[in-house]
Amino acid sequence: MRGFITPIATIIASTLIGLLLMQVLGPYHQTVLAFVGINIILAVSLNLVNGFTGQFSMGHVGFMAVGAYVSAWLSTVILPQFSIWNSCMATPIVGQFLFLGLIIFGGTVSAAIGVLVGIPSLRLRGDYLAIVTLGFGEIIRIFILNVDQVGGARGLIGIPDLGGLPWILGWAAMTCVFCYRIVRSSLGKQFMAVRDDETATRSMGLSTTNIKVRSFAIASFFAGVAGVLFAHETQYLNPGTFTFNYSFQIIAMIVLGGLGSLTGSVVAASLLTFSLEFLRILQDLLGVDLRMIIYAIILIIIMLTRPDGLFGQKEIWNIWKSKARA
Amino acid sequence: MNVLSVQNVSIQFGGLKAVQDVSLEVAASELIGLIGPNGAGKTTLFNIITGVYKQTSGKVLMNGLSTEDLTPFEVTNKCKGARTFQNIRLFKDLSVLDNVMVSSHGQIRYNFLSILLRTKTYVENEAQIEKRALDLLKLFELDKKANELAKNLPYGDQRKLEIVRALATNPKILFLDEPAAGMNDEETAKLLQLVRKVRDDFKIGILVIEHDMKFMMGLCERIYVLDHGQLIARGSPDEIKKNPEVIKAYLGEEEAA
Amino acid sequence: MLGAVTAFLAAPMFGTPTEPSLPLFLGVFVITMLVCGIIGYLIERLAYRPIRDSPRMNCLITAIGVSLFLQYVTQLQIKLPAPINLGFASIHSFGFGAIPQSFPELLKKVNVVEWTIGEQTLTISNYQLVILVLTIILVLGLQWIVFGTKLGKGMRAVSESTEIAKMLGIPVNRVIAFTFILGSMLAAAAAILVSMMYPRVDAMMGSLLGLKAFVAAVLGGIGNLPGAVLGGLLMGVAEMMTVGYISSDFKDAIAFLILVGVLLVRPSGLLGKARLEKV
Repeated sequence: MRGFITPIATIIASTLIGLLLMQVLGPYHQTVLAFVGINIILAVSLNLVNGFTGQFSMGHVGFMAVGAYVSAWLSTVILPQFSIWNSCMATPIVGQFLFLGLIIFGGTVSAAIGVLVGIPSLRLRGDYLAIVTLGFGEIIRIFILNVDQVGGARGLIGIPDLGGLPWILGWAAMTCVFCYRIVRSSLGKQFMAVRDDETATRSMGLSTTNIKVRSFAIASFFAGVAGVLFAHETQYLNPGTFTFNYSFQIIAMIVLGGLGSLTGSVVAASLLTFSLEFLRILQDLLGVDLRMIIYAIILIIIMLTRPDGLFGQKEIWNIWKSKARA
Repeated sequence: MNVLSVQNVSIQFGGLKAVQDVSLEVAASELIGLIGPNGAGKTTLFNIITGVYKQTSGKVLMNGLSTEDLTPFEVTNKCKGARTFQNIRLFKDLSVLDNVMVSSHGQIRYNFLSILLRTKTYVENEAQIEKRALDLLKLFELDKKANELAKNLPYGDQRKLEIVRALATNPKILFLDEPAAGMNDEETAKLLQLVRKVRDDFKIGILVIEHDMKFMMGLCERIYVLDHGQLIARGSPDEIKKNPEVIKAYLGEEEAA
Repeated sequence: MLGAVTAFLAAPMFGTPTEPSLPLFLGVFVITMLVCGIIGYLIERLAYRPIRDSPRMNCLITAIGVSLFLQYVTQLQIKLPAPINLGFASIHSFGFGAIPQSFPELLKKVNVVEWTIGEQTLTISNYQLVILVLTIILVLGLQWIVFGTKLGKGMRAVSESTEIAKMLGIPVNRVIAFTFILGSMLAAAAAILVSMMYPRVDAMMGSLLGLKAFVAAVLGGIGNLPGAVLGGLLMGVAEMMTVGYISSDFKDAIAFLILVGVLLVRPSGLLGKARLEKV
């Protein structure tokens, strides 16, 4: 089927690139690139909700936490008790498939939680929705903080080292492909209709709550995927990572990139993740933590000067086309 | 059976009785008009009928179903009634074609995986919807502009697009809220022909709110007149023209039709 | 946070070491409110006014950016290589720093009431009375300003529609600036009251509180001042009961759970009015 070509090609391409980079780059640079990939997944998926459907979700990393902890808990605490799991994990090919299973399972649980959270919240108007999603993000974090089995405040260590650049880049690319297809599909048009005018959408026979919950579920799935990848990359989880600060950084990325542009989210996520790392080097040089201050200033300046973001609502090929015409 | 039956509907906002005890009927394929001075409660009545507001008392039956506890999207889907809006409410950032296609989606449900993998069923269905949308647009001479963003259309075209969009939901009754607003004489005459053609081709009932008397008298088979939330007259255009109550309500706005 | 930090920095101006007394309390109170009012005005003028007409998300992002900026700048402490000698004092460093400090004692703490019932003793200190009385005065004052003055009417008009307010000749810029000054001053007052009971001052303080304030406002119904008070009270009581009867771990979660619960049943908040959209 034609529809399978692009996803399969993407997986193959990104896996090869990932393997190549693993040979070429040192561990520090690999980690930075890994975080870029994870943030891309988070940003692109959040853009579906905040950018294309026009809903104010501020608790995105809460769903990332769900995916991360589900996979970590299973692979560190529960499943190693079964010898069949351990022997399968040791086998190269089967081990990879099990990891894929963990990713999909983590994403699905996050999506389920997303639906649970979305159904009551998405009925609410803009500002209210923002606060409630923020609240849910915090509730999830506090809940995790109090579950001793996953380490509580000390964190969870010893998460198996799975994945790495090929997986992360592969999933980042897949997220982009899938979200792009969704956005261009009938569902994507429904998202944008809800964003443009909810009342009119309702009058055209579409259930806006249904549409909003679907966008929320999809975004939460990918957030969960990002979580699983994150957990097995850092091999250590601490609830303190999944705070509103992180959600805010993702929001900043999609606003910077442009709320209606997937390309923008990819570019902005990469830019901001890289620059935060770069600023960390600066901090070591100067001895003062100016990172967050510079980050905040940059954000405010962007808001004041170019609020549509870098790409507005266009993708990169729209810009190439208009340049070609001119 | 009448495609629309409004029975003794009233609505009250705090102390304001916006609509008082209004009844009207629309039979299948009838062209009915609703007129009245500004603030008479016409759009409010539309909102009640289409489920946006909930009436304080009275009943609305559309295609045999009571709209009592239905939400607007249920009214469109189950009762097959579609509307346009007084203040244009197009999907501004979507293309003209997309505006129409989205309205067709109320009747189709896709399996999520088929969207991701672009299966044959999905592609074929979308092609069908697109063709139907283009046909509708051609009827209103908007097909050449199919790929333009709705917000970039001239005003008259935007009003027409609203009607096409409503038609895409496959309604049995159409509610048009001031479709000729802002149009000049030539455009209005063309619109009149179009609305009549829609009625003839699609065999649907149409209820129109308008201020342009020439348009209304030329288009409608029967007219209801609303003033201060109450029905003050009903009948054929000729009867309405001569009705002293109607003339009094429009004092200062007399228009020889 | 700015209120507490300002008060912390202002107190020594009345003499070191700081002796708790009523004049000290009033002096610090007034200065802190003034300084914070000015800062609030500057923030509105520089960061919020230019983007006033932008979509809501942008304003929210900017506001959070400003908040982060304030927090991390306060955390900054640039130690000077050699102290600058000003005669009456010498400056060793600029900035508050990342280490939490202890809020100075502004009033001497006195137990006004001591009831002994069997095993338990109930004490009410003058701190609690002062907080209660000042809160009531400030809230009543706010109600009066918003509902009893022309400026307050302007505030309400702008909240309904900036466009129309402009057309009616209301000085929108001035009204909004005033609103921010007022809000900042009240926040400063709240900061001092809170710091009296919880004397820990650090650059990150207040962010959770700010969030809960948001929640309280939404809980009570946005735009409804008595609602906000009710929301805050409800949340405070619920929090304390959770700490007492369930566990202190879930203290912060309970606020959000209450919010979600209420919004499910009453989407406009407890005392909010459901806004009917005109189609």
